[in-house]
Amino acid sequence: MNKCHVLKDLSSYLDNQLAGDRRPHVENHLKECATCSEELSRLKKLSEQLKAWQVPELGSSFDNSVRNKIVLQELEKGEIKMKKKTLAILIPSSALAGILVIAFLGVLFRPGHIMQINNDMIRKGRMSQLDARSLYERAEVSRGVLAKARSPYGGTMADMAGGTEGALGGVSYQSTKGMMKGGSKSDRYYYANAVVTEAAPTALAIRDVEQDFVSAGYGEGPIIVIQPTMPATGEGDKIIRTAEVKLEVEDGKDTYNKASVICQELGGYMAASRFYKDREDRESGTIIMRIPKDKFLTAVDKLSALGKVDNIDTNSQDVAQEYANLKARLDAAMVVYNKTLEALQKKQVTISEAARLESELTPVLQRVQELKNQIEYLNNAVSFTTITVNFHEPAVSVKALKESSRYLKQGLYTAAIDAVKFLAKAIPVVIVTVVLLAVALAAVLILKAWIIRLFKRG
Amino acid sequence: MEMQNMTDEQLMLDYQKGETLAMDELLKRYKNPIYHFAFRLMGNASEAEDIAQEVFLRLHQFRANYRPIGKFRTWLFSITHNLCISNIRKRKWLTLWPRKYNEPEELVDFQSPDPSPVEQAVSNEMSVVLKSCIQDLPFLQKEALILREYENLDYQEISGILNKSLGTVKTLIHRARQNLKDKLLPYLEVKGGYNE
Repeated sequence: MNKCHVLKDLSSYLDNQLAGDRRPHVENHLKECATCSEELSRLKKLSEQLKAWQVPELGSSFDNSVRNKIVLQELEKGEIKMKKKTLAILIPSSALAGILVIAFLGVLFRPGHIMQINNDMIRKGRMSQLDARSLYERAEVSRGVLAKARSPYGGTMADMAGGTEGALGGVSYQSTKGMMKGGSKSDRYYYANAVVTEAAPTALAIRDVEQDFVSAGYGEGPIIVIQPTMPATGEGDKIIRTAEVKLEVEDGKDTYNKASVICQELGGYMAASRFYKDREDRESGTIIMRIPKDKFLTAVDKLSALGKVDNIDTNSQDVAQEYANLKARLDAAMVVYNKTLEALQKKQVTISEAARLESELTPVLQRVQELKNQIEYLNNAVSFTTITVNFHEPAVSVKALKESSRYLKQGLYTAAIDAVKFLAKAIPVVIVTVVLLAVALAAVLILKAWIIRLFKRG
Repeated sequence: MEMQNMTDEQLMLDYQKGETLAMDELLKRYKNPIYHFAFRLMGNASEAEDIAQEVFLRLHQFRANYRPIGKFRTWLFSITHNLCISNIRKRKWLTLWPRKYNEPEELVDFQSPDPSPVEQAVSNEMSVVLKSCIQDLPFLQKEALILREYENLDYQEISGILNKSLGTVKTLIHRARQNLKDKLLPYLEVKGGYNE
């Protein structure tokens, strides 16, 4: 084996890549060493043989292919940019939309949400009623003032003409203009029948009245409602008050029970009631209750708070005239009755005359009794106001919503548990599969290595 | 200045600025060296052409990153070297039969200006043996030898392309030649000593 120290430099020498100081040393050695010289010749020949290996050259189609690919690359880059831009918009938008949907669903299925809405509505309704109550009380006060105010005219309503009616917010109102003649004067009067259950129309009507009175030159005053002259009964106001409250409630049965409790607490009684369910299991009903007149507004307020108020309609009817008439007729009948009875009780009356008087006394007695009954009825109607409560559950029942929400939650919960159970069952299978795959992969790699080794040996 | 007279680095800087004609000139200068290098290294014409195309595509793709610090040629061959290694790795994953791809798909084309029938027969025989011997060389030895013998790159440039030290490159080339010489000894009969 040739062990010349320059042998390892021969290749570099051949390639003219030796460092400057090394090259003369190798050249000198080559002149002296035949072996190294022979080795260099072999390397030169090898190099020549290698250089004889020619490879075909590429044609112009290669250039075109490269240019086309560059153009395609640019186009793709543009598309990728576009896609990135689109994704940059889509991803945050989708995330935001997802968050909003989740938040919406969260709020929707939050317990008590619908109750909250109802309570809001109730609060709004109660606010309106409070305003209405204030206006009603104001009207009641004004009526007394007006009774004094109207005395200068001293007459009665002679004419009533014109008038307007309308509806605002589902509640009716009415205002009437007319002429009132009395004494030596004949003046215009304005009649406003304020419906006290809704603030806005009442206020509108009252404002109209006040403005017109001012323009008519009667000066500013607390004149709001004009009432006809009533005969004095000496027993206070004889006004029959009624109210109808229409409610949309969450639970019909619950509303019925609560209304009953309110009625009892206020010293009233249930005159009639009706309760039923429809095919879709929605409950509704009507309760007619009698409430002491001094608890009327309190009862309306409390009943209105039981649900979402659809409508409240209150009405006042003054029956003082009718009451006075009945009383007068009763007094007259009593006079006849007493006189007849007194005549009958005399000792000198004959049998035939007694029979006649008795026959006359019987219808008088009946009329007296009837009149007493009528007066009693009026007294009862005046002392106990009538409130009709109509309630119904909404078309889409809150109960049904809660029920479906509950079913949905229960379903999701069950599905989650089933999924966990399934995964728990599947874990051993997954582990076994992974182990088998790992073993198979290891076997393939070992086999590959073995085959490669085998071929190298071969 | 005309494109033909410009250096590679100037052309690349022009292309960086958007001068598309510079790419034409670079293609003209380097498409064949790159293709030949890949062909000899991979032993497959279609694969070599794909690699050559990919080299120029990457040149376009990364033109903004080019800095004229070293030689342009070194940078270009470095890209080719990386792509070849990448392709060889792909081969390993694609098949359990690596030797199949080391076999030449095309016959080595040796040209002789005026070969006699005997010389031609010897040359053909040697061509097959030589190709086989080159392909059997370790990859880095083969690569260093090809860059030196066929592309006439100096050791410094080869060092830059292979990302190896100068001493390593020197050793790689020396060993490649020794390996080839040992296998091709019968074909390298020396008639006389060294004469210069």
